Amino acid sequence: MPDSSIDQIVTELEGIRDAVQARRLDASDADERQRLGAEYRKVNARIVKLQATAFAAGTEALGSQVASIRSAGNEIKAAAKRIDAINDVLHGIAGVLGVVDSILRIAARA
Amino acid sequence: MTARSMILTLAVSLPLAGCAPSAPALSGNIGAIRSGAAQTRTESAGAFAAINTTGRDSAIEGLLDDNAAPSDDALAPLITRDTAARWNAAFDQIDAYLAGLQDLTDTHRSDEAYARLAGIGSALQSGVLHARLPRDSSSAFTAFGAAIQAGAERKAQSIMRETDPAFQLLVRGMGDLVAGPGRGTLSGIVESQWRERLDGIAADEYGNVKQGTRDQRRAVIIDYGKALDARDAQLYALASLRDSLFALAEAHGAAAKSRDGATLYWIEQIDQRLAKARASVQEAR
Repeated sequence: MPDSSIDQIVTELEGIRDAVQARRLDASDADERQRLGAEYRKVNARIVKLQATAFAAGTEALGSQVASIRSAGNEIKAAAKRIDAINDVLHGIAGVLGVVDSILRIAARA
Repeated sequence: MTARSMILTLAVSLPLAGCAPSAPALSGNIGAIRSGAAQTRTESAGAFAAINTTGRDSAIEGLLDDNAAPSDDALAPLITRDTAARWNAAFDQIDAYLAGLQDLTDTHRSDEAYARLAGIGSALQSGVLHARLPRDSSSAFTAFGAAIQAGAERKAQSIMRETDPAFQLLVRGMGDLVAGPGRGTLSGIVESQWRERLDGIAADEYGNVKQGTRDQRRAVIIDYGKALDARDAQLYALASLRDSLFALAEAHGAAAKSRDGATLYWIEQIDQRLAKARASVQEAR
Protein backbone atom coordinates (compact mmCIF):
# COMPACT_ATOMS: atom_id res chain seq x y z
CA MET A 1 0.00 0.00 0.00
CA PRO A 2 2.35 2.73 -1.16
CA ASP A 3 1.81 6.24 0.12
CA SER A 4 2.92 8.52 -2.74
CA SER A 5 3.18 11.67 -0.58
CA ILE A 6 5.58 9.92 1.81
CA ASP A 7 7.46 8.46 -1.17
CA GLN A 8 7.96 11.98 -2.51
CA ILE A 9 9.25 13.36 0.80
CA VAL A 10 11.55 10.36 1.21
CA THR A 11 12.93 10.89 -2.30
CA GLU A 12 13.60 14.57 -1.53
CA LEU A 13 15.32 13.70 1.74
CA GLU A 14 17.39 11.07 -0.02
CA GLY A 15 18.58 13.79 -2.39
CA ILE A 16 19.70 15.89 0.60
CA ARG A 17 21.34 12.85 2.24
CA ASP A 18 23.24 11.91 -0.90
CA ALA A 19 24.47 15.51 -1.29
CA VAL A 20 25.79 15.41 2.30
CA GLN A 21 27.46 12.08 1.53
CA ALA A 22 29.20 13.59 -1.51
CA ARG A 23 30.62 16.36 0.72
CA ARG A 24 31.58 13.77 3.31
CA LEU A 25 33.57 11.82 0.73
CA ASP A 26 35.35 14.97 -0.41
CA ALA A 27 36.20 16.16 3.10
CA SER A 28 39.86 15.69 3.87
CA ASP A 29 39.60 16.83 7.48
CA ALA A 30 38.49 14.14 10.01
CA ASP A 31 36.53 16.67 12.12
CA GLU A 32 34.65 17.89 9.05
CA ARG A 33 33.88 14.30 8.09
CA GLN A 34 32.52 13.68 11.58
CA ARG A 35 30.35 16.80 11.46
CA LEU A 36 28.99 15.83 8.05
CA GLY A 37 28.51 12.24 9.29
CA ALA A 38 26.27 13.55 12.07
CA GLU A 39 24.32 15.65 9.54
CA TYR A 40 23.96 12.59 7.30
CA ARG A 41 22.66 10.44 10.18
CA LYS A 42 20.09 13.11 11.13
CA VAL A 43 18.66 13.18 7.59
CA ASN A 44 18.70 9.39 7.30
CA ALA A 45 16.98 9.05 10.68
CA ARG A 46 14.15 11.24 9.32
CA ILE A 47 13.92 9.05 6.21
CA VAL A 48 13.75 5.83 8.20
CA LYS A 49 11.22 7.32 10.64
CA LEU A 50 8.97 8.39 7.75
CA GLN A 51 9.21 4.93 6.20
CA ALA A 52 8.31 3.31 9.52
CA THR A 53 5.35 5.68 9.86
CA ALA A 54 4.16 4.75 6.36
CA PHE A 55 4.53 1.07 7.23
CA ALA A 56 2.47 1.59 10.40
CA ALA A 57 -0.24 3.39 8.40
CA GLY A 58 -0.28 0.58 5.83
CA THR A 59 -0.69 -2.00 8.60
CA GLU A 60 -3.57 -0.02 10.08
CA ALA A 61 -5.23 0.21 6.67
CA LEU A 62 -5.53 -3.60 6.56
CA GLY A 63 -8.01 -3.42 9.47
CA SER A 64 -11.16 -3.92 7.36
CA GLN A 65 -9.75 -7.06 5.74
CA VAL A 66 -8.77 -8.37 9.18
CA ALA A 67 -12.38 -7.75 10.29
CA SER A 68 -13.67 -9.75 7.28
CA ILE A 69 -11.47 -12.70 8.22
CA ARG A 70 -12.69 -12.45 11.82
CA SER A 71 -16.29 -12.48 10.62
CA ALA A 72 -15.61 -15.55 8.43
CA GLY A 73 -14.10 -17.23 11.49
CA ASN A 74 -17.33 -16.59 13.41
CA GLU A 75 -19.40 -18.01 10.54
CA ILE A 76 -17.27 -21.16 10.61
CA LYS A 77 -17.80 -21.54 14.36
CA ALA A 78 -21.57 -21.20 13.85
CA ALA A 79 -21.51 -23.91 11.15
CA ALA A 80 -19.58 -26.24 13.46
CA LYS A 81 -22.12 -25.56 16.24
CA ARG A 82 -24.96 -26.54 13.90
CA ILE A 83 -23.35 -29.93 13.28
CA ASP A 84 -22.73 -30.29 17.00
CA ALA A 85 -26.45 -29.64 17.48
CA ILE A 86 -27.29 -32.59 15.17
CA ASN A 87 -25.01 -34.79 17.24
CA ASP A 88 -26.68 -33.49 20.40
CA VAL A 89 -30.08 -34.47 18.97
CA LEU A 90 -28.77 -37.95 18.20
CA HIS A 91 -27.39 -38.13 21.72
CA GLY A 92 -30.83 -37.09 23.04
CA ILE A 93 -32.58 -39.76 20.96
CA ALA A 94 -30.20 -42.41 22.32
CA GLY A 95 -30.99 -41.20 25.84
CA VAL A 96 -34.75 -41.33 25.24
CA LEU A 97 -34.47 -44.82 23.80
CA GLY A 98 -32.60 -45.91 26.93
CA VAL A 99 -35.40 -44.53 29.13
CA VAL A 100 -38.12 -46.15 26.95
CA ASP A 101 -36.28 -49.45 27.15
CA SER A 102 -36.09 -49.20 30.95
CA ILE A 103 -39.81 -48.35 31.22
CA LEU A 104 -40.74 -51.26 28.95
CA ARG A 105 -38.57 -53.61 31.01
CA ILE A 106 -40.31 -52.47 34.24
CA ALA A 107 -43.73 -52.81 32.56
CA ALA A 108 -42.84 -56.31 31.37
CA ARG A 109 -41.91 -57.34 34.90
CA ALA A 110 -45.10 -55.87 36.46
CA MET B 1 -42.86 -40.11 14.03
CA THR B 2 -41.16 -43.12 15.62
CA ALA B 3 -37.45 -43.14 16.36
CA ARG B 4 -36.95 -45.68 13.60
CA SER B 5 -38.74 -43.66 10.96
CA MET B 6 -36.92 -40.52 12.13
CA ILE B 7 -33.56 -42.24 11.63
CA LEU B 8 -34.51 -43.55 8.22
CA THR B 9 -35.88 -40.17 7.18
CA LEU B 10 -32.67 -38.47 8.27
CA ALA B 11 -30.62 -41.05 6.42
CA VAL B 12 -32.44 -40.88 3.11
CA SER B 13 -33.02 -37.14 3.11
CA LEU B 14 -29.29 -36.42 2.99
CA PRO B 15 -26.90 -36.99 0.10
CA LEU B 16 -25.25 -40.37 -0.12
CA ALA B 17 -21.70 -41.18 0.84
CA GLY B 18 -20.59 -41.08 -2.79
CA CYS B 19 -21.22 -37.33 -2.84
CA ALA B 20 -18.68 -36.62 -0.12
CA PRO B 21 -15.44 -35.06 -1.32
CA SER B 22 -12.19 -36.59 -0.10
CA ALA B 23 -12.49 -35.61 3.52
CA PRO B 24 -8.86 -35.55 4.66
CA ALA B 25 -7.72 -33.56 1.56
CA LEU B 26 -9.38 -30.26 2.44
CA SER B 27 -8.59 -30.51 6.13
CA GLY B 28 -4.98 -31.44 5.28
CA ASN B 29 -4.65 -28.59 2.77
CA ILE B 30 -5.99 -26.10 5.28
CA GLY B 31 -3.53 -27.49 7.83
CA ALA B 32 -0.70 -26.91 5.34
CA ILE B 33 -1.87 -23.33 4.66
CA ARG B 34 -2.00 -22.76 8.42
CA SER B 35 1.53 -24.01 8.82
CA GLY B 36 2.67 -21.74 5.93
CA ALA B 37 1.03 -18.76 7.66
CA ALA B 38 2.82 -19.63 10.92
CA GLN B 39 6.17 -19.68 9.08
CA THR B 40 5.60 -16.28 7.50
CA ARG B 41 4.59 -14.91 10.91
CA THR B 42 7.86 -16.13 12.45
CA GLU B 43 9.89 -14.65 9.58
CA SER B 44 8.17 -11.27 9.82
CA ALA B 45 8.80 -11.18 13.59
CA GLY B 46 12.49 -11.75 12.81
CA ALA B 47 12.43 -8.91 10.26
CA PHE B 48 10.86 -6.52 12.81
CA ALA B 49 13.51 -7.46 15.39
CA ALA B 50 16.38 -6.90 12.93
CA ILE B 51 15.02 -3.48 11.89
CA ASN B 52 14.56 -2.41 15.51
CA THR B 53 18.05 -3.56 16.50
CA THR B 54 19.66 -1.56 13.67
CA GLY B 55 17.33 1.38 14.44
CA ARG B 56 18.45 1.33 18.07
CA ASP B 57 22.14 1.36 17.02
CA SER B 58 21.53 4.39 14.76
CA ALA B 59 19.57 6.18 17.49
CA ILE B 60 22.51 5.70 19.89
CA GLU B 61 24.88 7.20 17.29
CA GLY B 62 22.48 10.14 16.89
CA LEU B 63 22.48 10.78 20.66
CA LEU B 64 26.28 10.61 20.68
CA ASP B 65 26.45 13.03 17.72
CA ASP B 66 24.33 15.55 19.65
CA ASN B 67 25.85 14.71 23.03
CA ALA B 68 22.24 14.32 24.16
CA ALA B 69 20.86 12.36 27.10
CA PRO B 70 18.94 9.17 26.22
CA SER B 71 15.14 9.34 26.27
CA ASP B 72 12.21 7.02 25.61
CA ASP B 73 11.41 8.90 22.41
CA ALA B 74 14.97 8.83 21.11
CA LEU B 75 15.28 5.09 21.68
CA ALA B 76 11.70 4.11 20.70
CA PRO B 77 11.54 1.10 18.38
CA LEU B 78 11.02 1.93 14.68
CA ILE B 79 8.37 -0.77 14.37
CA THR B 80 6.33 0.26 17.38
CA ARG B 81 4.57 -2.14 19.71
CA ASP B 82 1.20 -0.96 18.33
CA THR B 83 2.22 -1.68 14.76
CA ALA B 84 3.66 -5.08 15.71
CA ALA B 85 0.45 -5.82 17.65
CA ARG B 86 -1.70 -4.94 14.61
CA TRP B 87 0.48 -7.09 12.38
CA ASN B 88 0.23 -9.99 14.86
CA ALA B 89 -3.53 -9.48 15.18
CA ALA B 90 -3.83 -10.03 11.42
CA PHE B 91 -1.92 -13.31 11.75
CA ASP B 92 -4.04 -14.24 14.81
CA GLN B 93 -7.25 -13.79 12.79
CA ILE B 94 -5.81 -15.73 9.83
CA ASP B 95 -4.85 -18.56 12.19
CA ALA B 96 -8.21 -18.57 14.00
CA TYR B 97 -10.02 -18.63 10.64
CA LEU B 98 -7.87 -21.49 9.30
CA ALA B 99 -8.11 -23.39 12.61
CA GLY B 100 -11.91 -23.07 12.42
CA LEU B 101 -11.92 -24.41 8.85
CA GLN B 102 -9.63 -27.26 9.86
CA ASP B 103 -11.92 -28.14 12.77
CA LEU B 104 -15.07 -27.88 10.63
CA THR B 105 -13.69 -30.19 7.95
CA ASP B 106 -12.15 -32.65 10.39
CA THR B 107 -13.95 -36.00 10.38
CA HIS B 108 -14.49 -36.16 14.15
CA ARG B 109 -18.02 -34.72 13.89
CA SER B 110 -19.16 -37.08 11.12
CA ASP B 111 -17.51 -40.01 12.94
CA GLU B 112 -19.41 -39.00 16.07
CA ALA B 113 -22.69 -38.75 14.14
CA TYR B 114 -22.13 -42.21 12.67
CA ALA B 115 -21.23 -43.67 16.08
CA ARG B 116 -24.29 -42.13 17.75
CA LEU B 117 -26.60 -43.25 14.97
CA ALA B 118 -25.15 -46.76 15.09
CA GLY B 119 -25.64 -46.68 18.87
CA ILE B 120 -29.31 -45.76 18.39
CA GLY B 121 -29.70 -48.55 15.84
CA SER B 122 -28.18 -51.00 18.26
CA ALA B 123 -30.40 -49.75 21.12
CA LEU B 124 -33.49 -50.17 18.91
CA GLN B 125 -32.57 -53.72 17.96
CA SER B 126 -31.54 -54.90 21.39
CA GLY B 127 -33.30 -54.84 24.76
CA VAL B 128 -37.08 -54.83 24.99
CA LEU B 129 -37.65 -52.68 21.89
CA HIS B 130 -36.51 -55.37 19.44
CA ALA B 131 -37.10 -53.08 16.47
CA ARG B 132 -36.60 -54.78 13.14
CA LEU B 133 -34.41 -52.39 11.23
CA PRO B 134 -33.80 -52.97 7.52
CA ARG B 135 -30.68 -54.99 6.74
CA ASP B 136 -29.03 -52.05 5.05
CA SER B 137 -29.52 -49.68 7.99
CA SER B 138 -25.79 -49.82 8.70
CA SER B 139 -25.04 -48.38 5.26
CA ALA B 140 -27.67 -45.71 5.89
CA PHE B 141 -25.80 -44.72 9.07
CA THR B 142 -22.55 -44.55 7.07
CA ALA B 143 -24.32 -42.43 4.45
CA PHE B 144 -25.57 -40.12 7.18
CA GLY B 145 -22.05 -39.68 8.59
CA ALA B 146 -20.70 -39.04 5.10
CA ALA B 147 -23.46 -36.54 4.43
CA ILE B 148 -22.54 -34.65 7.61
CA GLN B 149 -18.92 -34.58 6.38
CA ALA B 150 -19.92 -33.51 2.87
CA GLY B 151 -22.14 -30.77 4.31
CA ALA B 152 -19.29 -29.50 6.50
CA GLU B 153 -16.88 -29.50 3.57
CA ARG B 154 -19.34 -27.72 1.28
CA LYS B 155 -19.91 -25.10 3.96
CA ALA B 156 -16.16 -24.70 4.53
CA GLN B 157 -15.50 -24.28 0.83
CA SER B 158 -18.38 -21.87 0.42
CA ILE B 159 -16.98 -19.74 3.29
CA MET B 160 -13.49 -19.94 1.76
CA ARG B 161 -14.81 -18.76 -1.61
CA GLU B 162 -16.68 -15.87 0.04
CA THR B 163 -13.67 -14.94 2.17
CA ASP B 164 -11.09 -15.32 -0.59
CA PRO B 165 -11.26 -11.70 -1.87
CA ALA B 166 -10.64 -10.32 1.66
CA PHE B 167 -7.97 -12.98 2.28
CA GLN B 168 -6.20 -12.02 -0.96
CA LEU B 169 -6.34 -8.30 -0.12
CA LEU B 170 -5.08 -8.87 3.41
CA VAL B 171 -2.24 -11.30 2.70
CA ARG B 172 -1.09 -9.60 -0.52
CA GLY B 173 -1.35 -6.25 1.27
CA MET B 174 0.93 -7.61 3.99
CA GLY B 175 3.29 -8.87 1.27
CA ASP B 176 3.38 -5.42 -0.31
CA LEU B 177 4.13 -3.87 3.08
CA VAL B 178 7.07 -6.25 3.44
CA ALA B 179 8.69 -5.65 0.06
CA GLY B 180 6.25 -4.15 -2.40
CA PRO B 181 6.35 -0.92 -4.36
CA GLY B 182 6.75 2.34 -2.46
CA ARG B 183 9.15 3.36 0.28
CA GLY B 184 7.08 2.65 3.38
CA THR B 185 7.95 -1.04 3.40
CA LEU B 186 10.19 -3.21 5.55
CA SER B 187 12.43 -3.55 2.54
CA GLY B 188 12.58 0.24 2.11
CA ILE B 189 13.51 0.72 5.77
CA VAL B 190 16.23 -1.93 5.54
CA GLU B 191 17.67 -0.31 2.40
CA SER B 192 17.91 3.07 4.17
CA GLN B 193 19.50 1.47 7.23
CA TRP B 194 22.11 -0.31 5.12
CA ARG B 195 22.72 2.85 3.09
CA GLU B 196 23.82 4.54 6.31
CA ARG B 197 26.16 1.66 7.16
CA LEU B 198 27.66 1.50 3.64
CA ASP B 199 28.05 5.27 3.35
CA GLY B 200 29.69 5.29 6.77
CA ILE B 201 32.28 2.74 5.64
CA ALA B 202 32.93 4.68 2.42
CA ALA B 203 33.26 8.08 4.10
CA ASP B 204 34.63 7.44 7.59
CA GLU B 205 36.43 4.10 7.55
CA TYR B 206 37.89 4.55 4.07
CA GLY B 207 38.52 8.25 4.72
CA ASN B 208 40.66 7.29 7.72
CA VAL B 209 42.91 5.02 5.63
CA LYS B 210 42.81 6.96 2.37
CA GLN B 211 46.46 7.88 2.83
CA GLY B 212 47.28 4.53 4.44
CA THR B 213 48.82 1.35 3.09
CA ARG B 214 47.31 -0.78 0.34
CA ASP B 215 46.49 -3.50 2.93
CA GLN B 216 44.67 -1.01 5.17
CA ARG B 217 42.59 0.20 2.24
CA ARG B 218 41.94 -3.38 1.10
CA ALA B 219 40.58 -4.30 4.55
CA VAL B 220 38.02 -1.46 4.40
CA ILE B 221 36.98 -2.36 0.87
CA ILE B 222 36.50 -6.00 1.96
CA ASP B 223 34.34 -4.79 4.87
CA TYR B 224 32.27 -2.76 2.41
CA GLY B 225 31.79 -5.86 0.23
CA LYS B 226 30.73 -7.95 3.23
CA ALA B 227 28.24 -5.28 4.24
CA LEU B 228 26.85 -5.28 0.68
CA ASP B 229 26.40 -9.07 0.82
CA ALA B 230 24.68 -8.87 4.20
CA ARG B 231 22.35 -6.14 2.91
CA ASP B 232 21.48 -8.15 -0.19
CA ALA B 233 20.81 -11.26 1.90
CA GLN B 234 18.45 -9.32 4.18
CA LEU B 235 16.64 -7.79 1.20
CA TYR B 236 16.42 -11.22 -0.43
CA ALA B 237 14.92 -12.61 2.78
CA LEU B 238 12.29 -9.86 2.75
CA ALA B 239 11.52 -10.45 -0.94
CA SER B 240 11.13 -14.16 -0.11
CA LEU B 241 8.80 -13.29 2.76
CA ARG B 242 6.69 -11.18 0.37
CA ASP B 243 6.64 -14.06 -2.17
CA SER B 244 5.68 -16.47 0.60
CA LEU B 245 2.75 -14.28 1.62
CA PHE B 246 1.67 -14.14 -2.04
CA ALA B 247 2.02 -17.95 -2.21
CA LEU B 248 -0.17 -18.18 0.90
CA ALA B 249 -2.84 -16.14 -0.90
CA GLU B 250 -2.52 -18.42 -3.96
CA ALA B 251 -2.80 -21.52 -1.75
CA HIS B 252 -5.99 -20.19 -0.15
CA GLY B 253 -7.47 -19.34 -3.54
CA ALA B 254 -6.64 -22.82 -4.87
CA ALA B 255 -8.10 -24.55 -1.79
CA ALA B 256 -11.27 -22.47 -2.10
CA LYS B 257 -11.62 -23.78 -5.66
CA SER B 258 -10.85 -27.40 -4.58
CA ARG B 259 -7.59 -27.42 -6.56
CA ASP B 260 -5.68 -29.66 -4.14
CA GLY B 261 -2.57 -30.03 -6.32
CA ALA B 262 -2.22 -26.26 -6.73
CA THR B 263 -2.69 -25.70 -2.99
CA LEU B 264 0.16 -28.04 -2.15
CA TYR B 265 2.35 -26.53 -4.89
CA TRP B 266 2.00 -23.05 -3.35
CA ILE B 267 2.62 -24.34 0.17
CA GLU B 268 5.83 -26.00 -1.05
CA GLN B 269 6.85 -22.64 -2.54
CA ILE B 270 6.55 -21.06 0.93
CA ASP B 271 8.74 -23.75 2.49
CA GLN B 272 11.36 -23.52 -0.26
CA ARG B 273 11.55 -19.72 -0.45
CA LEU B 274 11.83 -19.21 3.28
CA ALA B 275 14.44 -21.98 3.60
CA LYS B 276 16.52 -20.39 0.80
CA ALA B 277 16.25 -16.96 2.40
CA ARG B 278 17.34 -18.29 5.80
CA ALA B 279 20.34 -20.03 4.16
CA SER B 280 21.26 -16.83 2.32
CA VAL B 281 21.19 -14.71 5.52
CA GLN B 282 23.19 -17.38 7.35
CA GLU B 283 25.78 -17.43 4.57
CA ALA B 284 26.18 -13.65 4.65
CA ARG B 285 26.90 -13.64 8.41
